[in-house]
Amino acid sequence: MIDFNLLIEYYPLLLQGVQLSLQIAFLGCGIGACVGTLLGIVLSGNNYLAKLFAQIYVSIIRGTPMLIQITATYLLLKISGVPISALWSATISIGLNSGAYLSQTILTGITSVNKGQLEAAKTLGFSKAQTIRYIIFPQAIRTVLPNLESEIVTLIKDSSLASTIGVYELSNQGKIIISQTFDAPTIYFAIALIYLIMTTTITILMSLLNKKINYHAKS
Amino acid sequence: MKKILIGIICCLFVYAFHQITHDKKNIPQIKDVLIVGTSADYPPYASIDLKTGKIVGFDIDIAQEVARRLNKKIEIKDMPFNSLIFDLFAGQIDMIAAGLTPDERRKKTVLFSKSYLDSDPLLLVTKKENPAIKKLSDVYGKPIAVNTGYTCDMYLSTIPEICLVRLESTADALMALQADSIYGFACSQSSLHLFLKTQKKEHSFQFFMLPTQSDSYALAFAKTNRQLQAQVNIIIDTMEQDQTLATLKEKWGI
Repeated sequence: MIDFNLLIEYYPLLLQGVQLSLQIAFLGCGIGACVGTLLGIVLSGNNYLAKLFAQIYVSIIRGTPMLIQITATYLLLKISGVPISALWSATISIGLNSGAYLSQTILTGITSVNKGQLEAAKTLGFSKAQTIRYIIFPQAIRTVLPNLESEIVTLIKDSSLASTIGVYELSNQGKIIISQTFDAPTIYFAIALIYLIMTTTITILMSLLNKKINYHAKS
Repeated sequence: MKKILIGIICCLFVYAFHQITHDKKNIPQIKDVLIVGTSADYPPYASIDLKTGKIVGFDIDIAQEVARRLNKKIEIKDMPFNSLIFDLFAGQIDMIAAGLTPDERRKKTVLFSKSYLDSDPLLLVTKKENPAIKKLSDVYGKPIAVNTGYTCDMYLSTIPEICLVRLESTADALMALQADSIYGFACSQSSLHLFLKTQKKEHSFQFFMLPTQSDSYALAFAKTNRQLQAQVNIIIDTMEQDQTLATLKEKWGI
């Protein structure tokens, strides 16, 4: 069933795919974290117009399939004549997508901070930026981090959607090898295993990070 | 902790910036580059050489020869078959070399060159243990796979009695055929070469030639690019006369 010689022959191609998949996932998550934080702050704030726009953005992104978003972003950028590679188009749309999801996580993180603390900060003469920096952020990060972990894991798997616009990430590399060796079981097995290894590693690393942050909180 | 996080974020941004600027360098600024779009999942016409990672094939050689005779550099872009015509329309590529068959519907959106290959018969592949197909009506009502958007798809779509199963690539369809999830697979003869070559044992398939004209392949250009079309037509004529086409066909076993 599984032809290991084939894997030994073609594993460098799969590793190239791994690099791109991780790049898409991490950069996507980076963009997502920035967009999400911004949206989260806006959504928890008092500016109704900004809040409305943020809400519309989040509903559009969360209400449409990621596959369509990736293809649509790519085609729209092309029509408008932006000379962007498929890889970057995919990274940006995945980043914008995860931003919408992360904004909800961050919003929960912000609102989970006790209102009394904010009032206390105000009484002590903290500025708005100081309140966010010293009071909201340290507490919010503990709520947000576990979700960030599952977000990265999701993004690693979702990066395979970039193959629809021709990015040579892991699953696309696999398809290319299959198109010439006609051995689907072996290649799909290998790809699934590689995704599993990537996501498990991330999970373990993030749980270590989590422990560290919670340790400081307790002491 | 914070410093590490900030450090990581900075690294990501630097990396992103580096990659974006790096990408920009790859985009040709000069006009004397012929940007050719192809879909590299269709051996022997266009596929990725697994050893070198380059795109190779009969179509690619043709495109390269055309570019050489136009005195232009060539840049090959690989993308999904279905987005090729859109890219031409959006002006991202100058020419399609992906075994595109000229047909009436496509002629409304793109310009075609003269065909550089026109003797690729369309076959229906079934397993040997099934009864031999005498006429096309033998497979009415049975699941027949085609590759989405390819010539067989367009031909068999005109026959409502056939249940079409549209799959992305030749490999997908052959896998489905081996797993008995489809009854037959319709494709052009040349696209089967590589598969039959990789089979270690004697293959267990039978072939039925579809009663239609053979597949023919041409290069395609944007509707507005009549100048390039005229130039390429002349080049294809001369390539046929000086036996370049014949040599290339032999090289790729077509």
